[in-house]
Amino acid sequence: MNTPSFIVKSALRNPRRTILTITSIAVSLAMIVVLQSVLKLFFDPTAERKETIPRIVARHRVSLTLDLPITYEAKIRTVDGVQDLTTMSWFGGIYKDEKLENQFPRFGVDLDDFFKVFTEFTPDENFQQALAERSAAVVGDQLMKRYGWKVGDRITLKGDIYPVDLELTIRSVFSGNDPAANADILVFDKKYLDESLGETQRAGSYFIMVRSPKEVERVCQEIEALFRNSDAEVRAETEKAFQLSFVEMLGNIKLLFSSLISVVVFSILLIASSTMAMAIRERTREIAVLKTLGFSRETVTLMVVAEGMLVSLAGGILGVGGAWLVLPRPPLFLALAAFLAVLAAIGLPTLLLAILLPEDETGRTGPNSVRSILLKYGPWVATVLASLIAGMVFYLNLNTDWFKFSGGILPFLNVRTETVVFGSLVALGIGIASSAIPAWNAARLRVLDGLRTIG
Amino acid sequence: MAIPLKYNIRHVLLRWRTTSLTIFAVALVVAMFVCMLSLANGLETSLTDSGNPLNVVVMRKGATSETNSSVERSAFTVIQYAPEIARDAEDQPLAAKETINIVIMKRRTGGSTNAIVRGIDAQSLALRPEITLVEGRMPKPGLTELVVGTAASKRFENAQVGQKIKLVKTQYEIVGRFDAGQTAFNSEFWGDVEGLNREFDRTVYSSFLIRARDAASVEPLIKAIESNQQAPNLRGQKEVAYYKAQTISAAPIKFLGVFLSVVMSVGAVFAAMNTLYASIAGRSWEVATLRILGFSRTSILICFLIESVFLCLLGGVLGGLLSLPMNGVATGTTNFASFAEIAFAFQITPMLLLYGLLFSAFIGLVGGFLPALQASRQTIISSLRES
Repeated sequence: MNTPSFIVKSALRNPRRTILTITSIAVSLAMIVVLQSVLKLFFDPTAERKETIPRIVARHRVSLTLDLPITYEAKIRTVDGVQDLTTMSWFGGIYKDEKLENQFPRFGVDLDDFFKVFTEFTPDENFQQALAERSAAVVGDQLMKRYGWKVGDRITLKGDIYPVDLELTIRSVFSGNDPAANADILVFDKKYLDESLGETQRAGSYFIMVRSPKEVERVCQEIEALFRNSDAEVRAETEKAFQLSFVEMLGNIKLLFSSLISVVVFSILLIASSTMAMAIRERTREIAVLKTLGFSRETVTLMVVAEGMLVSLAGGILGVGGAWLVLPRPPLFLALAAFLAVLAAIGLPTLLLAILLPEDETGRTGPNSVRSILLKYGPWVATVLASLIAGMVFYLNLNTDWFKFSGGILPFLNVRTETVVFGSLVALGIGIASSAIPAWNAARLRVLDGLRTIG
Repeated sequence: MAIPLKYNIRHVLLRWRTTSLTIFAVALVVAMFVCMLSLANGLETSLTDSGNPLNVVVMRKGATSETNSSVERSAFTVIQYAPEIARDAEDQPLAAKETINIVIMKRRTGGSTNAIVRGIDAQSLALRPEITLVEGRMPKPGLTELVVGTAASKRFENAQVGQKIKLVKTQYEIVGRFDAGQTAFNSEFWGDVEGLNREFDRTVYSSFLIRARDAASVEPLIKAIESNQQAPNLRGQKEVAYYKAQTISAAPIKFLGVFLSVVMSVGAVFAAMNTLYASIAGRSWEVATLRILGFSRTSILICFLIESVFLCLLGGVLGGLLSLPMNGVATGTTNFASFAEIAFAFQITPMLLLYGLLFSAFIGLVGGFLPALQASRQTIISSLRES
């Protein structure tokens, strides 16, 4: 037997404890990955975009609810570096009902300019036809899929901010040509909105395409300067800053999430430390024997630390790897949930039943008693059944949309490389930290004291 | 016969080094649970405390909040003399036209968010008797002046009495500060409605706030308004119900709190299990002795369950203590109904602490069950042989 296999054997010496510890570490680390991924989604939603699109948002400096005059368009176009622009007016309104799953972004835009500004989207061949029809809606393919719409379908948006109801007909579909381009919005010609209102030569905001990323800052400043001290001052910023301003509104999300993450990290540390402390204390005498046999302090320390690392890395691989595999794939996630639910639903009653059944008169349980049969075959039956149902759930949900599944909260939850790295580092750190004190104690242990110790 | 509690308590204290790690792990989970729920609790309280049971908010039909509602002056003229509306000492109806303006403001803690600048009418303050002016004076109609809620004054930059805030085109001076307790109004700025409407270039109001004569006339008043032919498209809602419906904003925090606690409790349960298994493994001899003395299997099962619950309750108490400093810490978030910032504080109630304790006891019960069962089912002979 060599040192590595000795370490593995030591770790598995109390398999129940090791499995319990690995599972708790895995669950907690999966939690950390979820929290990190949500945080990343909040603060950096377009990180997966291949290249930065130099796009600026210009809106009213004072309030989101105030519009800008339509005359600003011509003035903004005169700024050097501005390539194209479209108005974007948030229509809001109600589609079907107020449920979260029926909410999606809908904007009145300059339809003929929209795709020049949103270059990550490409409309299909029906787009020219849509341009010709005032009440046409152009819809992202992800949205089409979510609601099962077809070209030609009619949609009614009941107005809330604007006191009009819009009757739209889907005429064209656009798709994203970049993994980070979420084609999940609906746009229509703003002129249709103006006509329905019978007024308004105003725009909610302007989205502006700039010639190159280097010019973005200068263009922002020039646009703001253009309208300074006017009745409607402008705030111009990059699209990313614009999106972040909405995240800011939620409050101190960063602080909340980082405190939650540190609580989780700390609690894993406690759990792992208590396991390591128990494991090493139980083996005090063996460690003394090892030392007697001539193992050096360093080797003993290393062996203890390696054992701690083994446990926490196993938990890390299970937790981080599992989250990485399952989170972005709703069918897998649902299958896993179904598996655990069925396992619990069958396993727990079986266990209880087995416990409650009376024992035979000797006080022992014979190999053929109902109880031992339950305990012997119960887990297997539960596992097989749970796997079958999980498989079914997986098959049936192959096309599930995360968005709908989460009630509209999460568009998608990709686990990014940096999150995986973070999770692994946490596991590594926990491994070292949890075994540090037991290792120190083991190294300092005097052989005689160790041999004298009773259990 | 039951085994004396002292046996368990002393045993938990005997191995304090390892058990304290477990106790601490449980404490963390409970503290997280209590803190997250107290956050949701604070937000909910500030919304459920808002509003007067006799007040009715009148908005446009189809509008979901004052922010996206618009009602016209002509409608106000029609409804303000409804017989169900209460009158003040001068026999004027307690009714006010109000406007909600959403303004981007800088937080003192960094970042910016939306604040409500509410245009108020002559009767607005009388309609909200729970609000008191604590500093300065109310704004005079026609002047560019504002009063600020105490929470808003603490939360936003340039929001102290005497300071000035530029709204759309004009500098507004803050001339007073009011205290609205824990209500949503405490996060608002108030100014003369007509002046603010000019400033924000609008001709319509967001809502009318009216007071019913008595509790019995609230429903008839709402009916009368909704069926009024001269002012169509109006919708009346009890002010209390209007704010209560917004407590939905606290749902994500609650969900996050419960979800995290449940997931983390898996870790805590396993930690408790490990501790109990280890402690029982070291005591199989004692268990056998207890059996020989005549204690039944059931009392051994219960004895170890109690030990586990006691261990975790210690964690629960510690967790409750750990969470206490968060009580009253002020924070804020966006209320998605109004799309504006609402300030509130972590609010730890005795009830929440009790939930925390119950949660920790539950962790102990689940975590201790299997180890206790194992201890109770050991046969005397094999236990005595083991050590």
